[in-house]
Amino acid sequence: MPIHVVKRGEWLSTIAQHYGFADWKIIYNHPDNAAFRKLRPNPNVIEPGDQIVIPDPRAGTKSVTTGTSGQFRIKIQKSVLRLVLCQADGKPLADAEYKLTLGDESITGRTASDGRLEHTMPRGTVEAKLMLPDFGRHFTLKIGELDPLDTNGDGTVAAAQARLRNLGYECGPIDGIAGRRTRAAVRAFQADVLARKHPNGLLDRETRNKLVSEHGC
Amino acid sequence: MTDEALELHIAPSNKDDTTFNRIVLSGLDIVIPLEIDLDEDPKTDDAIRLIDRDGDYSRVLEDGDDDVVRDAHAPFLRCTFRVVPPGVYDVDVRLHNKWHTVIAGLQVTSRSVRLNGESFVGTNNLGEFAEADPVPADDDSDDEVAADTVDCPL
Repeated sequence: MPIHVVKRGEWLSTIAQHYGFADWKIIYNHPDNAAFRKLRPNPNVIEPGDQIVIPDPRAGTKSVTTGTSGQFRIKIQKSVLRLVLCQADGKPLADAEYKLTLGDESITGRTASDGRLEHTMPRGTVEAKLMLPDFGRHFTLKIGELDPLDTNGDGTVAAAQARLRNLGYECGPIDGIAGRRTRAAVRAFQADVLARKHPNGLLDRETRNKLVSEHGC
Repeated sequence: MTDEALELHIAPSNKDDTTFNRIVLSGLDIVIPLEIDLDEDPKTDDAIRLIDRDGDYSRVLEDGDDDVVRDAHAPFLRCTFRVVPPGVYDVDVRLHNKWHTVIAGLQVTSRSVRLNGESFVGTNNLGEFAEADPVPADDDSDDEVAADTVDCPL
């Protein structure tokens, strides 16, 4: 069975589609990917360089009558963009107008009462534009580029920086370097969210876990 | 506010899972007192505008809006602009149906509001506000000034 090495901007659904699987769970739940599942408990948050075993495709059988034509439809699961927008005080940004561009599709809507914004993404979407006109904000959303935040690998700092930025703690560029601005952002997060009287600016286990739970993944 | 869109790294989700990405709009609530009926024309609503110099942000508050509250002790409207992103702003008031700039170059960072080098930190007391110590302008300062709401003079 082939091994797929994850590239930036890929996630399980896109990899499954690439290999002709309608359902990403066929790959993720394959016994040969047990170690991968343990390493990446959230299949939507994987890291470039991760190795995934691609199972052999299972041959299906369908009975057809000779001399007739038929249609075969494959249900491909579409990925979803799911955001929860909040104000700086943690309150949801309820009923806020937004303009979202997903591929060629432009969507105008309002957030739900809990600040939620959710849309199915066209296949191949790796970038989206989000505008909040009432707040003068516009964002470029890089889909699938959020790295896992764990103790392994070199991506821990960059993964933390991405979550800090999403949570409103500006830490400079997402470059994987724990510089002065990153440490200041971590300290601010520790003081605000962990209520630490003496925040140390270090990405310790408690801070990493809280970053993940606060961010949502 | 910056000219470029802020780039955010986002995890995708599936229909049948609960993965989400929380996005917090950083910014300050800025309270600006506005003298009631400044133009002595009771037929026109008092209005104030906060506009950034790139033209990306422009909000108008008028008497009667939810974020405009009459001061209990003075003839002022307390106008609250919510979640104002970092940037450089002008404050305009509407007099006789024309906008006039009354504060130019209000500098909003993620932690404070500064005008001519003077920093305004969170307080609801205009007297305390007027006595706020000036701080050197340094956007990259590591000083942890906790200020979610700031009052600005007019």
